[in-house]
Amino acid sequence: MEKFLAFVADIMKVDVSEISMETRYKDGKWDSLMMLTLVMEMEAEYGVSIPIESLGNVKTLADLYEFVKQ
Amino acid sequence: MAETKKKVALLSNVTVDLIAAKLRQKYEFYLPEGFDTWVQEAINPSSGLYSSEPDAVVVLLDGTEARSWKGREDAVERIELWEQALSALIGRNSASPLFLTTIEIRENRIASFSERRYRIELEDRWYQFIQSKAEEKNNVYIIDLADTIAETGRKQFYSNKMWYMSSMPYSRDGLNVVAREIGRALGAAFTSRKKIIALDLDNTLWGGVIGEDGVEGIELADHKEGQRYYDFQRQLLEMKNRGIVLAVNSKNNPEDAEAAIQGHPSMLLRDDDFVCRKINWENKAANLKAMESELNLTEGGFIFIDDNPVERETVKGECPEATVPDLPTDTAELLTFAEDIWFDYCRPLRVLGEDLKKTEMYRSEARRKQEMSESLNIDDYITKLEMKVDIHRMRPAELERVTQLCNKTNQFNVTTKRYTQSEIEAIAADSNNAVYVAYSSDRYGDSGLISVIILLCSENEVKIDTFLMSCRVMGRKLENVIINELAAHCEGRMLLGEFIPTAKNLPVKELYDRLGFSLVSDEGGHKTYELSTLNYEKEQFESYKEIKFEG
Repeated sequence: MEKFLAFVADIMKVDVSEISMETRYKDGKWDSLMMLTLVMEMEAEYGVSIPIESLGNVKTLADLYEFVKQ
Repeated sequence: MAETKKKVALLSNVTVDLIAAKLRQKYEFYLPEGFDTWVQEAINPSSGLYSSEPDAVVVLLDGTEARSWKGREDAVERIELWEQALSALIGRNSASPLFLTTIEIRENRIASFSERRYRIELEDRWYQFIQSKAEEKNNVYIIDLADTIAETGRKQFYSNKMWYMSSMPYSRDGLNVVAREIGRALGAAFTSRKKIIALDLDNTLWGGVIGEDGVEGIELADHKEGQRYYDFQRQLLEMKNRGIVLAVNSKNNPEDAEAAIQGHPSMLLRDDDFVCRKINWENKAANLKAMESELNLTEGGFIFIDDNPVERETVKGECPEATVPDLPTDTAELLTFAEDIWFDYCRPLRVLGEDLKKTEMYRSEARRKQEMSESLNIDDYITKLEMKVDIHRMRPAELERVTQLCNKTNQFNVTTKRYTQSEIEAIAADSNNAVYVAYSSDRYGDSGLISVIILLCSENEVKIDTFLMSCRVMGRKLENVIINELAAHCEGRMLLGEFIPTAKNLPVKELYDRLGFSLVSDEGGHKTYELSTLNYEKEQFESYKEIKFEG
């Protein structure tokens, strides 16, 4: 989980202390373009495929984490 | 010295925010508001595109939307609209570099084996259109994106998911590739290009070690395995034909290496193709430094290619400004390695006539240096060189070379003012001003157009706005000759000089002092000078064979 947050912070170019699993979509740097980048990078980093239909339910980083947690 | 970021307008029919984000460290971007608004921006003279006054414009067109075009007619209509928009843009943007992309049209693939496809026909039509613009206008250039897509592979380049999520058709890899290609184009426009490639021989220009394997034993042929090196040489030769200078920097017995260079049947690069060959047992960094001084080049202009990591590290350590790329571990990739070197460091926007004679010019420069070291003083040296100089007002055909020199000359450049072609054209068109150029030649060869002087004149004063000279001809009193002629031509008006310090123009820090000007002001190194030309006594340069001046 910490690894995931560090990964996200790196992509968002923020300090890891500025985000948490509760960080909400559309807050701060997490806009729709950032969502796109996160999906792209998560798919590459974790070797998963994130279906478009499931993104509608993503409200927090914890929701995103669901796609990649083992 | 931190330079301000160049402003680039990026126009596209797809979402390009993520591409701009990848290049923001180096460039500031103008992206039109809204999606696919580039046509309106191009057509509307009061759009943000024009009011933002970009230093460069990139039009990136993607063919993914073709999937929803309704057949050929619809497609032709779309291409025609794009052509009109680009024509408007080209008409209004006559100064900044404008990059146009080739297109890969993603025509719907549901079709029988016999249906007529329009993809290839329209891609070709688009290419013919932009290529003709690039030939017509000297600020229009082409980024061959279709070639890059083919090289990457469509499946890897595009992402349906990204397209559906955001109208951005590229995959993660595709984004990187597009950003890389745009970065390379902007790099060619705004950063100085490498001038010379110094090459190792063993396991670099051929396989094996010449001192052990002999001319017959080294790996080099025009087919099969030996073609790895043959093709690498061909790539280098293609670069040489476009103005890159090649040199040898190798640890070998010169007789062994020369036997291969001159006698191996499959050697593509022969002795004439190299500006100089350092084949000895010296430290390679020392060889590189010797080349710098013999050819009057700066370390930053060098690329050093060697298969041996130890040699590379030595050169990196002692010549930190030289570019020293790692070679591919698989020698089958030497050919693409050469392409990357070309794309990243060497590729110019356009090859000019002057560029084609580079190797010959630098070689004569080395011979001159040799003469100088044998001559006792500078005047004897100039006399021996049989120097000729021709100074005249800039002619239209010289405009492109003048612009090139204004934008790439760093060392002998008193004010380092960068001008676009149309700015220079405008300066020259004003009858109060004068743009002069100087050509020089000597017994070793023709150096071509090597100096630009821009004068802004008023009733009582003549201000030297720009005075620059190619570093190839520094140290031959050419600056004295030029100022002498101009001062005599000033007819009593005060000649004003200015020195604006940069990280690179130290060689001309004292130029105006040396030329007899008096210092007027000095604010933190930014100095102004004057020279009275009233009753100016023209100096005679006996050491020059010929001085032509046309005022």
